[in-house]
Formats: sequence, structure tokens, C-alpha cells
Amino acid sequence: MVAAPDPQYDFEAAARDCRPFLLQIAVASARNPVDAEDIVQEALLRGYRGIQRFRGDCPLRIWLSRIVVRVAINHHRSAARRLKRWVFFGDVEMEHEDGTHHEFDPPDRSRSVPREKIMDVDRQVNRLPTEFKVPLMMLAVDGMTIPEIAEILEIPQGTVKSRVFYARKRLKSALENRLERNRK
Amino acid sequence: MKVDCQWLSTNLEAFFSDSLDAQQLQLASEHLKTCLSCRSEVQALRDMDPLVKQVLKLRMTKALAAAHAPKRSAAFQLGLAGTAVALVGVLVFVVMGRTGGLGDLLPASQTTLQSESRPNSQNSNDVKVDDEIPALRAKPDAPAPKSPGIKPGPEPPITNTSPAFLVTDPAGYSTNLEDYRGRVLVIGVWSEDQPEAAQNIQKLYQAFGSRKEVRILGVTSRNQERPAGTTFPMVFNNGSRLLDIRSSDFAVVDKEGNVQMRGSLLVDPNVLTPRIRAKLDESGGR
Repeated sequence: MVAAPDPQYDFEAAARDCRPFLLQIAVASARNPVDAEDIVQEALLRGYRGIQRFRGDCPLRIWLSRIVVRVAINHHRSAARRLKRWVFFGDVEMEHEDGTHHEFDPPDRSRSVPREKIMDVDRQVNRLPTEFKVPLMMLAVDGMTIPEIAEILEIPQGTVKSRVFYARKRLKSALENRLERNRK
Repeated sequence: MKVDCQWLSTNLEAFFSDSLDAQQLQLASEHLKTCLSCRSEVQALRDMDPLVKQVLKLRMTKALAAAHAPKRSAAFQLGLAGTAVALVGVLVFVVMGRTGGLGDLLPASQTTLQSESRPNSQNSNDVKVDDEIPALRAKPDAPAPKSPGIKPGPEPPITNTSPAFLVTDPAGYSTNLEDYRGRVLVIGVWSEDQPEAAQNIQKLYQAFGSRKEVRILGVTSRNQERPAGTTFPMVFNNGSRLLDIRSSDFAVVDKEGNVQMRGSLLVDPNVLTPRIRAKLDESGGR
């Protein structure tokens, strides 16, 4: 048993370190990636407030990831977010405050799969049930392992594997169905 | 134990979840080496992973782009939301106006105003109304309220100075005799308590409605529901003297705008129709 964390635990520094990782978890679990940053922010705030409950029996980033997943799933239902999206729906291109121009999705020449196909897969992934979608997406995060996913989602490793399998299967048949419909 | 396609298909989940024992795994691998369909099935499932990786990459780009987007001020957001609300309001206003919904909210006071504003210099016997009509041709006065909760306002008084003939259709467009020049017009006046009159207008419409130079009009004193089973063009009197046709009567107006025939609608249609047919033929209403 790991000792309870020091009350003077430098939460800020730890949060800064694992923020990129948390953003990936948020992107993997959220329905819309545009919300990922807000989700991480919200999760860090909750983590900061509830750090007393962190028992130290797992790495902090895993503990924070659990919060991120919870926030991400609930975030979709939040009415406030919907209103915000409604007002912001026009954001396709944006200009930074320092004047640099940022295209919404810079084309990546290196990838072999056409962008339309990826967007189609993206849509089909979003249609998967959350319990299938989240492990499948998490496994795509660089360096993520089945034991880690199992820890974050607090389910047995076998269950993670099984859910990833069914997620792949459903995704495959969804894409095949679409292909057939397009042929017709 | 025999490992064939069926066995692999049922144990595919276990195969992917690493829950096959060493011997099963060995047999499965051997089967995959020889069976093309099973191999492509397994490969197709594995091919999902790079696609999902690409999806994650795409989503990360979007997430980072959104995170770096300049934040808009609260005042701007409020302004945008306010504009949206205002736009919705204007839309609702326009749509209600179109469907006559606003007419329900503006009772007959408008109608009275309009009829009072008409010029008084008209000779009471002068049927020609050309001069004053254009001003009155715009959208109609408030139509009678449809909802039972709102009582209809008093109907505008019809005086000798009122136009001879001015009617408005349910869509809100007014017409006068001038609009029917060159057509023989059959005007039937009916009201709710005289369904026979409406039925007879319908019979006339069925008999003569297909004639190109004939127009049939069923006029009521105010805008009201169409009687069941009728299709004749319905209009309501817009404060005119209506050529002095009384309720349940009809008139035939020739192409020059002169009343050629008057009579009651409350007669046997087998008598009425031939009479009107003769008059239409005589007036050139083909």
C-alpha cells in the first residue's frame, strides 16, 4: 500500500506533466474532439478539489484519467455545452491572437488513407456504444496498454480485450455496410 | 479437437482476447495458415486499428485547433445569442403574418379604420370604383378570428359610399370588378345558416367552372370555414355593397361589368343551372 499523498502535493506541476496524456484520453472518450480541452480543464478542477480522495494506489495520471472519462461521457449531456456549440458552430478556420493563421485541419500528406474515409470511420466510431468505443479509441493512444486501459476504466483486462474485439467487429461491419450501400 | 472455420468463428473473441490455451492457439494458427477466408477475416479486424489510430490523430488535430482558437468575449457571445433570438422573433412574426395568425391578434378595429378612410366623394349610384380601388387592394383587413375564444369585431358598416364590389380571398388578396373584366362573373352570396345556397354555388361551379371565360365566386360576409364537400372559390366581402346582392342571391355580371341577371340561389338547381347557362351563353361566357 502506497502512503497517502503529501497534502502539499504539487498538483499543478503533476497536472502540467500529464496534461497531454489527459487530452488524448479526453479525445478518445469524448463525442466531439472540440470539447476535449474543456473536458481536461473540468477534470483537472475536479481532481484538484478532490485530491484528498486520491489514495495513491495508482499513478496520478490514471486517477485523473478516470475523472476525464467520467467528465467526457457526462459532458455530452450538458445543456450548457450544447448552447455553446450552437453559438460557436461557425468555427472552421481561426486566427491566433498573435496573428498566425491556423487551418482547422492541416492536410497530412503522409497518410495513405483518404481523408473522406477517415471522416467516415470517425462517424462510425461515434456510433459505437460508449463502452465499446472508449477502449477501442484508448488503445489507439500511443503507448497505451491493455492493463492501463483496464485500470482507467476500472474493469478487468479480459473485459477490455473483449470490448475492443467487439468494437472492431462492429466497426468493420458498419464500414462494410456503408460500402455496400454506396455501391448500390 | 478439430479447429475449422466454424470453430474459429465462434472462438474469434477468445482468439483476440488471448484467452485460448496454448494448444488451441497453436491449432488456430495452423488453421489460419491454410484457410484464406479465416485469415482475411482476422486481418480485416486487425486492419481496424490503424484506421482508429488515424481517427484519433484527426480528432487530436481538431482538439488542439479548438484549444488554440481565440476566446471570444462574453459580451460577443451575448450579442451573438441576442441576434439569434431577434432573428427567430422576426421569423415568427413574418410566418404568423403570412398565415393570418396576426390577423387574429388585430381585431376589427383596422377594418373600421379602413372603411372610414375611404373617400366620401363617390356618387352612390356610380358603379365604377376604379379610382379608389388601388389604395384598397393591398393586404386584407383583419380576417375574422378563427379561434372560438376571440369574438369577431363588429362588421364594418356598409354605406352608399362603400365600393360597389370588393372581395378578399382567404389568402388575403382583394379583387374588384375590374379584375374580372373580360370574364363573365357569377357571384353567389351565402352564409353559414344557408348551406343550401353554398351547395348550389358548388353545383354552378361544377357546371361552369371549366369555362375559360367564366368565373364563379362564393361570397360570404366574413372570412369563414369552407363548407364540407365544396371546392368553389371562396371570398369574403371586404366592406363593399356587393352590387346589392343579398344573402342567398346570385348575380351574373357580364364582361363589361354590368349586372345582367339577379336571382335567388334557394331554388332547385335543375331549374337554376339551365337559366344561368342560357345567360352565360348569351353573355359570351364560354
